[in-house]
Amino acid sequence: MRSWLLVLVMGCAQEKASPCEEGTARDANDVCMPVAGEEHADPGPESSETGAPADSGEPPDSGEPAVHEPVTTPLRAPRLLRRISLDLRGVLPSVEELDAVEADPDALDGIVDAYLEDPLLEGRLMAILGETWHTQVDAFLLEYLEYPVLRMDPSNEFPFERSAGDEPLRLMAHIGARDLPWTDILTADYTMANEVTAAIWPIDRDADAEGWGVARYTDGRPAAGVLATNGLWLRYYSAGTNRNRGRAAAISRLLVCEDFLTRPVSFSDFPSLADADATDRAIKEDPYCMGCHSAIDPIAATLFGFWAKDIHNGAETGWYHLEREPLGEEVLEVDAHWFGTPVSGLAELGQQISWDPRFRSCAAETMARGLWRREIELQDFASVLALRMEFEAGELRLRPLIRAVLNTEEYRAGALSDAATAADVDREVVARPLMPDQLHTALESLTGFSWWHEGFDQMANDTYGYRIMAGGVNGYHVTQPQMEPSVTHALVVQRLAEAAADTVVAHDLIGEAEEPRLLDGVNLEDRPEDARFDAALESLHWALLARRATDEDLEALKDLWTAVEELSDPATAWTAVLSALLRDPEFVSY
Amino acid sequence: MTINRRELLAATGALGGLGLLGIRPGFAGPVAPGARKFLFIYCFGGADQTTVYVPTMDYSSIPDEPGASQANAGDLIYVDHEARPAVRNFLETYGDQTAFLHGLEVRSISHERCQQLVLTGSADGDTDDWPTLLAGHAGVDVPLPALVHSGPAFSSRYSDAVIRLGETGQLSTLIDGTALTENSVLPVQLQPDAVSRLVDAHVGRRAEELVAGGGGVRRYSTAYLSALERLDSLKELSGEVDLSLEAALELPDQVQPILDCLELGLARTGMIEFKGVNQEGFDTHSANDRQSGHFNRLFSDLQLVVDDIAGRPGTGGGSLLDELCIVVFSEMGRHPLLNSEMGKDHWTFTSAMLIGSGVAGGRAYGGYGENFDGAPIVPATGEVHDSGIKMLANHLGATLLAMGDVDPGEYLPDIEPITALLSDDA
Repeated sequence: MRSWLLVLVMGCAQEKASPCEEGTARDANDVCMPVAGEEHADPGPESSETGAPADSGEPPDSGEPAVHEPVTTPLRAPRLLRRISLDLRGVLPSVEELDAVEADPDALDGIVDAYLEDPLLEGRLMAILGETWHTQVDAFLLEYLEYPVLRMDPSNEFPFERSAGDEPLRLMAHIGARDLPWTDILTADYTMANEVTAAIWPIDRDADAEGWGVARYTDGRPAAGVLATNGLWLRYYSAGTNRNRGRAAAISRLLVCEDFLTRPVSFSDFPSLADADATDRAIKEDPYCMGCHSAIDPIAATLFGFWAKDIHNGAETGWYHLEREPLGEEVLEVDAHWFGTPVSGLAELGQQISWDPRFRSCAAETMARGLWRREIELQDFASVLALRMEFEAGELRLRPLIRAVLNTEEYRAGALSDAATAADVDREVVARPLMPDQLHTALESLTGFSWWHEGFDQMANDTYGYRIMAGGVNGYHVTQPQMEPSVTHALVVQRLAEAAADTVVAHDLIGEAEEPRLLDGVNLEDRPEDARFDAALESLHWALLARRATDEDLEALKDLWTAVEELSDPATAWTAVLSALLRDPEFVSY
Repeated sequence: MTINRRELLAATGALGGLGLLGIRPGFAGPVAPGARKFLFIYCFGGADQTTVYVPTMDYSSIPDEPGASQANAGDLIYVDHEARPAVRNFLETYGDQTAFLHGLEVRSISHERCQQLVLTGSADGDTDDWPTLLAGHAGVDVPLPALVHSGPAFSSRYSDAVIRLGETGQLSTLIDGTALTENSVLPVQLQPDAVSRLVDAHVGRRAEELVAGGGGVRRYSTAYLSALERLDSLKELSGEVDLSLEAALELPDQVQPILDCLELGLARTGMIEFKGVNQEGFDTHSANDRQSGHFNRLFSDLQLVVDDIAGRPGTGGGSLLDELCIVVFSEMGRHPLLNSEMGKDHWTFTSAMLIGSGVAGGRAYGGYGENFDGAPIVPATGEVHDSGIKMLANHLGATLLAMGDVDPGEYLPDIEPITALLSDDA
């Protein structure tokens, strides 16, 4: 509900926006103000000496800027770098990077720039967007059994589910990570495909390509970016009398943050049941119903190329139906438009959305939500507005927006300040749990352990895996990540840590790998009283927690090692120490 | 002197009265205050209430289902059909302990939004649902307060009380370690138990240090410490109760781990999703006659489940059914008229069924108006009357909270429980 109000307010604010005159630019209050150094005879009707809008109704102040008391204190540079690395790449920063920012916090910016160009950014963008787009579900109305090329091998179940659900996310992540204009997500004439989707859908893809890559549908569907992906419409299916209205509502929620489904619906004053045409008339005549349908139905009218006669059929749902495009306006008895602006087809719909000011606000809000790890509230209005302006200044590319979010107080919060109120305590997130995808990628990169079972990524599904048990989102019943560690989160972390520790000890110490992953400079003969032992613990502590170990930290770890070694052997002792570090609150939170 | 919930709530106006009085009501009957348990069975997709719960023979504008007739089990009126013998069998057995609650309004027509509304009464993201609220008041001696096999679960304040079993028994495999030894492509050697305990102790001490030390990680560490402590309890219980599950089981088998935990007093609430024949769900926008098969399967399974519950000992001396309330609900209802595809579309009014402990059974509460909207209900009598209130999901929630000795006013101010639905010995 709050999000709807926020975007409504911001959208209304945007509807009044007009270009600033030469030599002026919009300030944080969205007022055209002279740019420093520019001389103007007329600074504009909305300006005043104080910089506030002339008709703001606010009393003139003393000229002193209002003092903003932060309600949080920022993380120190190494922990901040750790947070940024996990958010942008899903892996920990290197020890060298931690050393660099410890020595010079200003080095952070350069490292962040590198992270924004890291290929790993794409995977993290998918995870962040997935929490809102909800396409990474464990079951669609169709199963892999529907497709002859997949049905004979049960190991195709998860690849099908995840490939279909990942398609729209991967397209958006591809555009965002490559610093292309974000509007391309609505106008691109290509999609992203892998071997699975190329095998079941009409997609032209390089036959020699491996994994995901740019591809194009061959069924004549319009260039509408994510709106033209099968994966999106498999998730947001529509059948019968719904007539694509559910899809229209999804478009509105996802792209302009206008969630029609938060509006209460009541049939209490519905016309008589004896009136067979009552429903159809009410949609067009009853103000209560028209509040939503006057906007939703015209959007839905553009989506009939994706109208399937049988929503359980692979061909019906996989191919675009050009011949059905005109059905929309006929069946719904409306002219297609986007909130009052006429459109003729899906491609134009995408264009209109990309020009809608709310699209930019929504992009800012989505990234803020994903990186602040909390819902956006009305009091965030100014912050989100500032982010939108950064997004626009960056020519609607995602990297400047992400960079702007990373620079906010909300993102960098490490603790609550004395100025924090009870409401701030409830709202601000100063420590957030690692999400299932981050647990997967971080531990895999550190130790080499990756949890797969019968073709299922165990941290990315709930059929056999532990995604929602570890606090993740499943897109249907669980649509928000869990921000407090639960019992099952703690248990999943325990088992992951155990497995990761066992894997890396086997590789680094027992196997005496030439290139150790974590346990460098130490072997199974070293003991707590040895200098190499201490050095290894310090190095581990720094690498995993981004905090220099105190004497107490080291003593506790050595005590653990010794106690376990007395029970078993040095290798088991090292797995114990490693798993303890990987279960440490400062590891599993960031 | 003992007073029952209904009398106390009526006396205090049920508007935070319990909290204002600062007392917990004493109750006659087998269930100690706060001891009542709840099993929630969620019928996914929007169950058609006219299939069983609401006879429509008196509605001239609603065509009757061919072959359907109005029947009664005592004063409980329902729709009977030869294609649904399980309904009749169940109600003839347990009808006196069963109540229908009619005309509940869930103000949306989106499945996901309705799931949240029917379970929390709110569209806000950070709320606890009824099972979680009840579980949150379970007390420290209940280690697994809210068990979720499947279906939605909304938690915020009491998120540490919610424990997902996993639909294929994932929790069990995590506890016993087979999640790694059998369900991992990469080989993993588990830590011996003695080593595991040492690591657990170390991690717990670290969490305690961070809680004591303040700083940014304090709140997280506090929640983490609580989770670790509950995890310890969970591990200790793994020998007492079998939490394992296999895929592709039916409801009577799927619910066993939850019933075991409820019986042993290890849990207070359980949630399980029911999708009917072939796991199709109740969302019949076409071929609405499929509802018949789903309901017959539901009541057939319910017979087995309730028989099972009735045969288990309760912690208060009687049977588990004496202290367990079963809530069967759906996120929305269905339009009373068929659409052009012989299906039925979403309807914001629905019915729920409550069975067992705390339920004044053998009748229906509330009703539907001439346009099949929810009729106003008088909470104290359960009768339809113009002076009554329009019932929302909040009213179901308030009723359940009252039944569970949780002050409804603390979470749902100004919402009256349907006190008529509370049994005399509730």
